[in-house]
Amino acid sequence: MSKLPSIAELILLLAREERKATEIIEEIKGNIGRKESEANAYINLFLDEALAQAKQLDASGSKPDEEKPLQGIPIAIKDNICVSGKPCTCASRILEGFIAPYDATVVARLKDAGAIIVGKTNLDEFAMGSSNENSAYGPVRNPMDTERVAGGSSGGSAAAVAYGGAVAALGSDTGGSARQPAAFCGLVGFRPSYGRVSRYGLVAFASSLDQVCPITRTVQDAALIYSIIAGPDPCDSTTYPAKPEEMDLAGEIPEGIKVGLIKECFDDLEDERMGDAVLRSFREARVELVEVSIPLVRLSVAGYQLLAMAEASSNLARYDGIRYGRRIERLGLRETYFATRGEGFGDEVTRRILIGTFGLSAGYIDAYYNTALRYRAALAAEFEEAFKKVDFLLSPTAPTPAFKLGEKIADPLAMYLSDIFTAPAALAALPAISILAKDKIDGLPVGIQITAPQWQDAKLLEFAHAVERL
Amino acid sequence: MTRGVEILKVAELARLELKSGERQRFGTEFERITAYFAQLQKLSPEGEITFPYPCPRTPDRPRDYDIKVEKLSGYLKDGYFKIPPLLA
Amino acid sequence: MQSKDYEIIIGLEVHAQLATRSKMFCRCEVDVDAAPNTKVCPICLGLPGILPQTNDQAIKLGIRAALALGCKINLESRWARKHYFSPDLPKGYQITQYERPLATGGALELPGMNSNVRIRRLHLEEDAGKLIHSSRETLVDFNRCGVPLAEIVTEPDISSVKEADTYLKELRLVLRSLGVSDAEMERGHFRCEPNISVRPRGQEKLGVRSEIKNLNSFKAVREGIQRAVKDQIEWLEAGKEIVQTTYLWDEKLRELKPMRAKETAADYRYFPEPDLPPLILEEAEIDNIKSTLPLLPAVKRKKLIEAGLSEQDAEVLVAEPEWEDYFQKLLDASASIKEASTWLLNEARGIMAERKETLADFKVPVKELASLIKLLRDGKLTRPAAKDLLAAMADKGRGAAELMEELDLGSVSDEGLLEETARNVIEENPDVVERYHKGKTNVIGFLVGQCMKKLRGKADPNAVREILLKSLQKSK
Repeated sequence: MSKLPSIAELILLLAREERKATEIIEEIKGNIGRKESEANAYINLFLDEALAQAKQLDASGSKPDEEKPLQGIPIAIKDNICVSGKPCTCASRILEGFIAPYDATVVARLKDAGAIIVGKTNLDEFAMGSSNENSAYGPVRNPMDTERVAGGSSGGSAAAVAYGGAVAALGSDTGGSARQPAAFCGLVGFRPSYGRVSRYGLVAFASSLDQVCPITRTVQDAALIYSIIAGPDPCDSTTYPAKPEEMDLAGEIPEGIKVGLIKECFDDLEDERMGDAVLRSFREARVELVEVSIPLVRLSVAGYQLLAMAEASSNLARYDGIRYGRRIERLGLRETYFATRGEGFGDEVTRRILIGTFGLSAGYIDAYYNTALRYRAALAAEFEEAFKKVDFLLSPTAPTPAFKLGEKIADPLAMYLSDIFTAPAALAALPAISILAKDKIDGLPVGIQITAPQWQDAKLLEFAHAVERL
Repeated sequence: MTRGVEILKVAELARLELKSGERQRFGTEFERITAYFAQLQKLSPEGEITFPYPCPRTPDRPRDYDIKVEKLSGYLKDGYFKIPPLLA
Repeated sequence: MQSKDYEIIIGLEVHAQLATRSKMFCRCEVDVDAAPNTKVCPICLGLPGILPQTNDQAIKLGIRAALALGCKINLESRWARKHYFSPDLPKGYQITQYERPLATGGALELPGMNSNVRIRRLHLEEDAGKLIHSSRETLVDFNRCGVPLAEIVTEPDISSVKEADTYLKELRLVLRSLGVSDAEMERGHFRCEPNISVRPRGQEKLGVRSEIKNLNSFKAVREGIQRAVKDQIEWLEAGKEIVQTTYLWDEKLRELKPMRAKETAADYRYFPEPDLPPLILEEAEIDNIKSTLPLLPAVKRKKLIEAGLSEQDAEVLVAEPEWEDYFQKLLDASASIKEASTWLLNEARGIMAERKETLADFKVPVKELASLIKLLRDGKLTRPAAKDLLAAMADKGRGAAELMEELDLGSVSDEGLLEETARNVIEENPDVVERYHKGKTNVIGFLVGQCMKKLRGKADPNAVREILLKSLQKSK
């Protein structure tokens, strides 16, 4: 619905001087002026700075080139990724007043490439949620249908790109938080293999599952951003030590590709039309569609949430108001801890910290956390088996298109279940991308999720690009 | 395992103050969600994920970081972070 | 109450600060004396979004210590998170090692006690910040937060305060001589937490443990353990039940203060650190480190004693590498263990003590001390004169031969002068000489003394004695 050019288009337009950087910022400003109050996609905007930067670029005749491939490209950053000198709220009251003193590695790399940061986008508090209704700054409304959610937790990033408040955005994905909002808002969301992109500066939710993801209008844009932000980082000991491979997005689908339909994602769909939409999109594709079973997918939400909640309870232990953020001071130190954390966290975050703490506690850790770890290993093994038979795996990104605001918020479990198709790839550390199905359902976009074996990010992007072009 | 007691113990461990209304609500949700998770135990899964690469090691070269704690917190005294006392 | 009816069982846990330049998981400089919160960064402050970076040198020092203690190094060890809430622990958890530590299963020989203490494990972790408590507020300084520590845990093999004291001193010596840690207890580099239990002799079942924290000196450790043992024996005698308790040592009151049970019954919720892959070590690296280990104190001690030094003198050299270095060079230059040890460890050390100097302040280089020893050996100096010369050298920082001339400390060796002096003394003391000739040969001492007086002590008394005897013969 946004009429902004894609990154790839914009690079050409800027290079040929058919558009100016300031014009793009002005257009974005206009879109924000019209759509932002309803969408509520942004928590903080840096439009004055963005304009000043763009003016400077135009004045000096700077254009995107090999050294600065994203020169002048306006990008939105999810507000759980640190931008130096700017507030980083994570949509939580407990971080009120916190100004990040450093750039996340992904932000530094985007800045080095010449990108312009438009603002920090709204999210579910601390990235915990599937609808962006858990924000201390209010819910995000889907620009495609403002009665509906934009998805979560990267709802703000998706909505901003969808209505033209930015050309592209960085989101984060722990169990589907970038792929699902992308699907709900008619965009592309790419989750790299765990370890491809540095997490330094991404406020941790679940350390072994979090990844920074591009949310874009096209696969090519996602690949462009990925090529800038990916690669080993000494600041993140979990990054994969090898540089990402070269990508060739010009090609067609190679011969003999086998695509596996994950049985468990097509059976018992809440809305059968979802499965049809996915299959119809592949009708023109010269690939062999095979049914593949990954039985453990059925419990992916249990395994995912248990691990994520446990790690979250640990990662959020640092929020105590002592060194930064909001402090609720009481007479004694102990009471201050309780009050600060009790007041500062919203309901969903509180719920997850409670359960996560329980899952790690003495006497329960083996039945809960350690069991989830073993489940994870078993699931990864099932994926490995499946990839012996097929090159890629296919499923709908979510069980339904964007649901209505308020529909699932009262039932946490129902909300968690919206991650059932996206959680497995995160658990198995695999790369996965959500692209658009050709058809809509009730006028709403439908996301197709393609998953590839670990480290085959380049191949996945090449394939997804070819499918997108069909 | 009484519901109320469990949730308070966990809240204590996590330093979360729960108001009385919240205790009931969170308690119920907690029960429901943990019961859902318990399904995993019936699977008796096996296996261990191993990290594909080892812990990287950084040379021991000190670096000065110009961080101004005044920008992080307003609760300072003579350069220290100031917090309420530990009541006996 | 008979303490010999009871068996004391002690295990010791030591946290040693590793001598790295930067912190364990960030590159902040290790400098706990700097102005508060000036040696900090987003990582050691536990800011949102940060991740740890492992210090290579800390790992190497950990391996060094583990090898010196005879431990088995785990080629794969894991990092873990240990959770508890404390204002000096920014992340709400400490990165440590739990299920798979760096090393296990070593031992430390206790010198002079004919016993061994087994080491259960050695692992690496990060330190917390510093808290300053007052009734109005608590102040927090994170300069120390993130500093690398090695935690060394013994089996409960220690059975007396003396053994505990000896173990700690020897461990400290090992860590210092390896360059692993400066291990100054008063500066917090070397923290000790004993676990003490007492049981009636012959009983198999272990007693209930008391753990003591906040012991900041060797003296405090000894006192603290003594108190805990005394208390436990009293309770056992009175039939009271002992509850496992952690105590804080109160330095001012010299008492054990029990900590609240709530504070000590912690559920640390250990789980593997997801931000750090396992630490994988290669045999080659370990072998390389092994080959660079210096001789251990126990080995050095044996060698020095075998070479003829006293236990005390050997201890000085083992304890202080600068002294050992000086001694070795002095030995090479003078080729006499006896002289080298006497002149360095007795005489020079005495002078340094008087002048309140350390070896670093001592103005006498090896070359000059060796020169003094040679002068003495060549008979150019008497022993008393040599002592005076050394004092002068320590004061003025000038050469032995030069000062000896200037201060006229050299021995008179001119035979003619000695003979003349002898003749004079004989002439001046006819009655004594008569008594000598009559058989009272022991008056020779007096006559030697008189000669020495005339010579102002600047002659070898043995040479004087000889010439006197000759002269006395002649005078008969």
